[in-house]
Amino acid sequence: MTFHWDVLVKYLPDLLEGLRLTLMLTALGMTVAATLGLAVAIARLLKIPVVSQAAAFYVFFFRNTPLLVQLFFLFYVLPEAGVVIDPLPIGVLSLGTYYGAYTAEAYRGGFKAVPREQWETGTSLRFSTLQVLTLVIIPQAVRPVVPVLGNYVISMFKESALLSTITIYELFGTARLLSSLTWEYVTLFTAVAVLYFCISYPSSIAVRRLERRLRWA
Amino acid sequence: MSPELAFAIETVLEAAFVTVLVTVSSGALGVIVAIIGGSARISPYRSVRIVAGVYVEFFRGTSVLVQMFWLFFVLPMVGITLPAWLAGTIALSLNFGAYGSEIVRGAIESIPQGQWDAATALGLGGFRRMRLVVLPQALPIILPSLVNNLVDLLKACSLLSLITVSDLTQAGQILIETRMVTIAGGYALILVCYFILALPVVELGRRTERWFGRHLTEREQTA
Repeated sequence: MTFHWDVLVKYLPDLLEGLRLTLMLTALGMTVAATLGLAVAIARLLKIPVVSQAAAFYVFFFRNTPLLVQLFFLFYVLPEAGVVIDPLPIGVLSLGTYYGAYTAEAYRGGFKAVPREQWETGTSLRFSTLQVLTLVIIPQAVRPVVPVLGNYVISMFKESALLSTITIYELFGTARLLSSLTWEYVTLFTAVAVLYFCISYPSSIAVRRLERRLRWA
Repeated sequence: MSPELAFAIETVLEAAFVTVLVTVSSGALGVIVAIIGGSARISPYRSVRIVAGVYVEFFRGTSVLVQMFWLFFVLPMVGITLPAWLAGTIALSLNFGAYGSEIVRGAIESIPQGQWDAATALGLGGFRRMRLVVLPQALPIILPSLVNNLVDLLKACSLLSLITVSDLTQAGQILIETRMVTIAGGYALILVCYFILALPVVELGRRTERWFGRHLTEREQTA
């Protein structure tokens, strides 16, 4: 059995529909990850007792265990705990918490790069800690981190294929379902791989360009 | 010890062994792929560069899961049937190798032109120049990054369970199905197992980084 163009033409609309869901999941997941990561990084920066240690452990644990098992854990445990939600929010939550650990580390690097004088200047202008943080530090810390976040968006886009294991029919899930029905594994899996590549490769070039522009700006 | 507990421990240990074995073997294979791939990307031959470039970009542009499923489901359709563990190991090696190729390429490109010229002046040809002069200097840059990528490889091994390999993730599912542990307990147990396996790799990464960092500065001082 080989690649069948007619099969591709027939199922392409379904695959594109799956791609749309993949992109949506990635956007939502990254929103969670970027927000959570920033909160975690700030907690560690301010050295809030207990919270800071918990944040450090969260980052270390989530970065060093597989996303697949984290996903299964949330998928099977949340309903068991009485929180019955459907797979979509669980998928977004899982992507968000996994990549949140990575973005937290990226932000931490960004915070480290802001010179101490910026804090001192802010304080001497009688800014409160919150004001220094939101008006002075965060804008400077986040800027160099943007390309790193961009790379995580691309990773998340590719890795979101894992959500097919919890009955979410995103791009890869759609291909798995359709190929198990039609036995057209060659056509559908190849098409899906090409679709992922067509989005992630240009995106990674765009991120590289952004990185270069930020460096020289 | 009750027979149930003995069964549970045996299942988890055996599965952990499979996970470690696959991580180590695909890591070793991946390093070889990375050195070949990284060198090929800066080859003087255009065709070699293009092939290597397509390989690296394609494997970096799609996820391991898609690659693994492709090898596991598509190859049998064209008459090549691989056992699940082999298809998984190949996918992991090629994926690890693609990321590794970029590390190797970056490191090789960071070696000053003078080193290449000096090697040529000493009459060393392409392969020997690479092996005796360029790679030994690139290694301190390559190794720490590769070890750091090893954690990702270990985590990616969890995907083997999806193509029917009895790895750690599947062991957890067996324990859950046999009602030995609750669902929450089973997955929590597996998460902790992966975490424990990752700890020495993380530590090794830190040490190689420190060791090579010190080594580099020492050499720069004596130079």
